Amino acid sequence: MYEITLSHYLIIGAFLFIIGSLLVLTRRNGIFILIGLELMINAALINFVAFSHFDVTKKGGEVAALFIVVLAVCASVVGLVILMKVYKQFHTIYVDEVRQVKE
Amino acid sequence: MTGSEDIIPFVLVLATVFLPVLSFIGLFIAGGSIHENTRSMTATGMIFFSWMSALIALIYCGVSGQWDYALPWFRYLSSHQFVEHTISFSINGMSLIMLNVVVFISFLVHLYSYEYMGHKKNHVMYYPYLGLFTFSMIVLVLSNNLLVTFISWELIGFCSYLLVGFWFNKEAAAQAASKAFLINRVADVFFLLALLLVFYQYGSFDLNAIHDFQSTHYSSGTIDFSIGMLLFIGCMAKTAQFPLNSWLPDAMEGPTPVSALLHAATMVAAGVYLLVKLDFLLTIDVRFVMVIIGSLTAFFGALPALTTFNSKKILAYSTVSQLGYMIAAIGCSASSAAFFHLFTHAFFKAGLFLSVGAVIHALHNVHHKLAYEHRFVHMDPLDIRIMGGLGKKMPLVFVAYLITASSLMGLPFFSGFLSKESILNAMFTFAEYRHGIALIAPILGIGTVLVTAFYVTRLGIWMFLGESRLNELKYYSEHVWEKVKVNHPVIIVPLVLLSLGSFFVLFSTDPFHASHSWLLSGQGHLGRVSGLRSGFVEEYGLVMIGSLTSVVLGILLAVLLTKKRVSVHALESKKSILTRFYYIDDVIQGLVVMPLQKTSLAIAAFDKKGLDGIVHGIVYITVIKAHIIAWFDRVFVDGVISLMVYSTGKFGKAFRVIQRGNVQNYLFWVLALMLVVAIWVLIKGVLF
Repeated sequence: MYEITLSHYLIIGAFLFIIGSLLVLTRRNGIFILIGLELMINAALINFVAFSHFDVTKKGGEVAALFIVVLAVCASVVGLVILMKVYKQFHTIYVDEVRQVKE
Repeated sequence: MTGSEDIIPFVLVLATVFLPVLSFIGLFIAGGSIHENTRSMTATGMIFFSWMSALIALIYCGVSGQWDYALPWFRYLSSHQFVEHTISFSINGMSLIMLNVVVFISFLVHLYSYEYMGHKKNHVMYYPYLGLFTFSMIVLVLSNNLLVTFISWELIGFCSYLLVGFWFNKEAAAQAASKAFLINRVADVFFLLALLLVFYQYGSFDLNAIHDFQSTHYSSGTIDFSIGMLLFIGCMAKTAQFPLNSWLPDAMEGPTPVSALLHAATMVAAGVYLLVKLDFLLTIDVRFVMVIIGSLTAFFGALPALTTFNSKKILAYSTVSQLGYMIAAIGCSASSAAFFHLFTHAFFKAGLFLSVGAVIHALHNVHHKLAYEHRFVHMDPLDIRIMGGLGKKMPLVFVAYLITASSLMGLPFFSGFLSKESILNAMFTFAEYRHGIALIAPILGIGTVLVTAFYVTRLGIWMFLGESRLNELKYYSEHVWEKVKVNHPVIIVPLVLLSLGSFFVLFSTDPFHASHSWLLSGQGHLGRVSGLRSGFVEEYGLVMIGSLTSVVLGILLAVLLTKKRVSVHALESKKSILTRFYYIDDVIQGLVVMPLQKTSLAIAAFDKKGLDGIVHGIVYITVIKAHIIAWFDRVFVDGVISLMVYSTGKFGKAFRVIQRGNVQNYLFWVLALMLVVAIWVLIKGVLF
């Protein structure tokens, strides 16, 4: 069978990042953008864990991953709060409708 | 007011002065709003009362008194002392006599115009002008201040311009008026110069002051000569002396009553009167020039009357010649004779004009009557060739003509005889004491008597005697004449009065000796500054014989030549020296008008080509320069700014799309840039 190498992890991370970024770029709904953001953070997270897995001396990557999970939760909380505020202000969470810059 | 205590002459004269000007102002303002009969009656009435007050003034004052009045006029400070100018006027024998002549003739002309002008169109301003004319002449007569005199002098010139050109829509009349005006302006310049010199010399314009100054101070000969000469030249145009006399025959374009007024009482009389008045300013040398010019004008001015067929022009040439007599008389130091002749001339010349005017008026009416019946004939009512035999048709006019013409010729028992004898005597005395070239004065004087007798007789024969040549006119028949009113009282009355004034009895009890007339014997008392003096004049029996012989000779010649219808074709042709009036006009045309026109044309051409060229060139260069600057501005200055604006706009437009407030867009660019950086790093890692 094939051995799972670092490249496989990195490719999965890259896929996740691309999917996340596509979500962020294409979806109009603010919630899905937050989801995309989570995916992108998770992609970075997988990279951390993967690099840490092959780094046998120190397990710094896992620690960083734990920090990232906490930060990601904080970030999504902040993001949701912002979305709530946006909704209060604009009565919508579709980001393309949320704009004050007029052409 | 300062002056004499007696106020009555002042009031009377004031009335005489202001009635004509009242007539002028009133009728001028009223204009065409009142009926023409009212207009003429008002004007005539005003002048009548003016004459009455003048006559009362003459009777009250007599001819030997002198009243001087002065009204304050203006003053100014000159080197720490006031120079005072007054409107001063003098009432003395001479001015009173002249005043009466002027107003009387003016009154008769007003009266006569009632019929003469009655049927003519557009004569609203006729009576106002006459009023103003009379007023200006009265002021000239009375004024003792040279400035006031000058003002009235100019007014007279202006009024004559208005009246000569009264039918201004006739080309010839308009031209004659301009000519009279311009020639008079030329002389007026000299008159003004004379005034300046008088003020320089005597420090005053007041004639009394000048007279006093002159009798107490020694004066320089050159300035005195200049003053006299300039005064004479200044009066030359108005008195129609050679060579400033060609306007007078042309001035016949005015209405005939105006010609009578012009020739008898106002325009030409103004010049002679002024010279008589300023007699004391004329030096011996000036007098000599005056005698020569005067006698030449007297003789050669009369000659054209021998050939012309225009009845009024014959009288105009006659006036020129009689004025020559007067000027010569002043030159001979016989101003009183000149004034005497002016006086008698006023009567008989006005009479002649009015009688010829009556004939012209009748022929005009014939013309109108024919035109009324739609029979249009071409006729010139002034042409003596269509007249003839009118003596039977207009006997009163004929008699008036006979009397006034006899007076003009100088037949005994008529006034003209007396004044002409006194002038001829003065000429002979002058010649006897000056010899040499002065001899031409009496010779020309006697010659003029002959010529005068000739042309007056000729005019009379052509007009009144022989067969009526009106029959030669197409459509004319006797019944037309019957419709023409020839004996209108307002025409006959002036003629009768003027004829009576042409007899000797008005002037002297002795029909043969001029020196016995009251005017000449009383000359010492005609006023202190009147200037009248008869000098030293001897009486020659020979003069009377000579002049009478000439008169008879002239009449006989005229009768013979005119009866036989002998006409000297060379003289009567259009181009002879007489019909062209000695080419004076041609000479003026050649010497003054043509060079002036040529010069102005040349200047105009220079203006057009030279100055305009330069201006155009400057304009052209400026425009080109401006175009270049504009192009530079447009292309470079504007270009840079436009480029900046354009590029900024384009740049902004290009980059505006990424900042449209769409968050996802921003993110896209962020990621795209990150991708570019990543790729750049990768490529860098692979290549280097």
